[in-house]
Amino acid sequence: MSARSPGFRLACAVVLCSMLLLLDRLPRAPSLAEAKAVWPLAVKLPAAGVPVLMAQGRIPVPADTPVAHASSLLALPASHPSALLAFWFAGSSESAADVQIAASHFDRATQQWSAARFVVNRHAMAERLGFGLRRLGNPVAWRDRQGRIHLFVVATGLGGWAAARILHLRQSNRGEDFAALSFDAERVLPLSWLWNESFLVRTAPLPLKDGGMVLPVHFEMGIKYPVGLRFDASGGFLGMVRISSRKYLLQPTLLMENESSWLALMRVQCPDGKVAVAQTLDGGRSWADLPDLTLRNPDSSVAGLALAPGQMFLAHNSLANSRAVLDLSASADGRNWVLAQALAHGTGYDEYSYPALAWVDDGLWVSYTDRRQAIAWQRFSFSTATR
Amino acid sequence: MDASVISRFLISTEIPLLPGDTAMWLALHAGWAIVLGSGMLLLAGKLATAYRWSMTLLVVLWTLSPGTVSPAYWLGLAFQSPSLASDVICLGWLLRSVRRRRETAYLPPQWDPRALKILWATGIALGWCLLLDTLALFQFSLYACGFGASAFAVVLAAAASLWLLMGSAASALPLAVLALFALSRLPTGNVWDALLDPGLWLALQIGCLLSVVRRLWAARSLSAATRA
Repeated sequence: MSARSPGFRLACAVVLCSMLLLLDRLPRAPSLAEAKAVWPLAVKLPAAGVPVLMAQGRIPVPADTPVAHASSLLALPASHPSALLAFWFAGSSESAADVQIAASHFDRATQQWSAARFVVNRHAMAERLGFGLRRLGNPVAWRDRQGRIHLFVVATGLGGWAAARILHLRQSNRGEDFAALSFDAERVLPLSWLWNESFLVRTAPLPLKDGGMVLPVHFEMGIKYPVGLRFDASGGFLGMVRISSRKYLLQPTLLMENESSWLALMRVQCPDGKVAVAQTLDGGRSWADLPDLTLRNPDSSVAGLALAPGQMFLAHNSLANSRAVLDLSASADGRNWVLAQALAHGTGYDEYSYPALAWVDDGLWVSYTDRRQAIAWQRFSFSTATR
Repeated sequence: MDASVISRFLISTEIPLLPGDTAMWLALHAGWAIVLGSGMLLLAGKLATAYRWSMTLLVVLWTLSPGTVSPAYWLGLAFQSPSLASDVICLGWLLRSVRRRRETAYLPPQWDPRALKILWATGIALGWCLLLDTLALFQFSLYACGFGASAFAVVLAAAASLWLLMGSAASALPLAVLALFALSRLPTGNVWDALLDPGLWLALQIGCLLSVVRRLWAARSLSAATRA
């Protein structure tokens, strides 16, 4: 058999393909089990429970940072000296070159927020990655099964927010000392063929039973569509699925109805928009659009949290064309919402926006951007009954 | 194959295998060094050989340097890493140039034009599909499929078939890229990113456009000559 004969080539191709297929298949985990979400609460709130405001204020900001925006809250376990961590981006202006990711923690002993400090700097992250990052924004935090904190941060390339990528960072220090909290760049998440551009993150992940999570993100170059990213218990990327076929929805927030059935509530970028909804019945493998909610959405981010079956909360701007009013609504089914609390009511060009929710120490915590100058917070309590 | 198998493939529930951070750092710098080095060699084509190669070497070393001084730092900011296909094509061009320089009597093998045409057309079509997929114009996510073992197997079968049918060096290019991808998972762990990057896709289209213009020009000249 000569080297150029079809028979020889066939033998070579079969051997080569077999080797390459083995090389590709063997290191992969056998299969991806269906994602099952977990409730954050081990108890059920009273059916007619109304959130009662217990405390509120502003989180201290780092010095010389007139702009603060897009906070994210991370609940910490009861054994931790801090109840929760807050992350946001701060700098001289939004999209400024000096914007960094700031953090503060709420100390259980003193019941105070700590002084804020910067934990992510674009130059340090760029050095680690080997390529430049122009701007940082929208941090979203998550804690893996080993207790390490992961941050997902928007990092722009050549262009504005529409040219952004999602940078995955992992806590690099050990221990619980906030003063030592630092992050290493893990990777830019591979989400798009087009130079990996135009995917942004904003809202909190949905924790899963296996210790992993589903991170809601969106694409926003020209059109806007939401996507769910799945991660394993150590923060390994497991895949992506589109949440909606509509092209004007962004910043999805995930609410579980049960372990496999979830809702995605989304910001709408169209005039007179209402909060949009999609639903999955198979743990995020496939999604279907549902009719919009009756809640107005002035092209503004919403934050949802499902605490227990039939107990969902949503922080949202409730005026048609302004972010001056931020409310907290409650729902039993995710479709019908009633006002539970007014969070911030301003006038004119006041902006109270980009809320985040977390359940910590039997209380519902809300943080939000306060006129783009600070991060405000509120804590609500409920009387609880054992489920 | 029943509908559920197709559905599972299309919504890609297979676990991706991603490259490590050190490998990605190295690939970014090495990839751009190869691409920029071959670009320099092409641009400096009319200079004396010694100058041409010195400048090429300089560009390669400059790109391999760490930090903000490296062009890879800024190209990575804008375009991330080049695809393995771009790397292989540019490396092939560089190596061919080295051999031509060393062996004056050496005649490089002619690229198989039929295989090149097929690869060219496939690259352009794949790029359009991936672009439309990025803009969510398909019901399923083609890019997400690229992380799975099924997509790799399908592309591998297609690449092997092309080589079996053609048997030329050009027709082995996709197989070489897939072999490198299986070994390294570079640049992102997604097979489409290994096969084609938007820069290469644009180059293929510009090349195609130039070829059409050249043919039209030649046809026009011929008809003018015939009329005369």
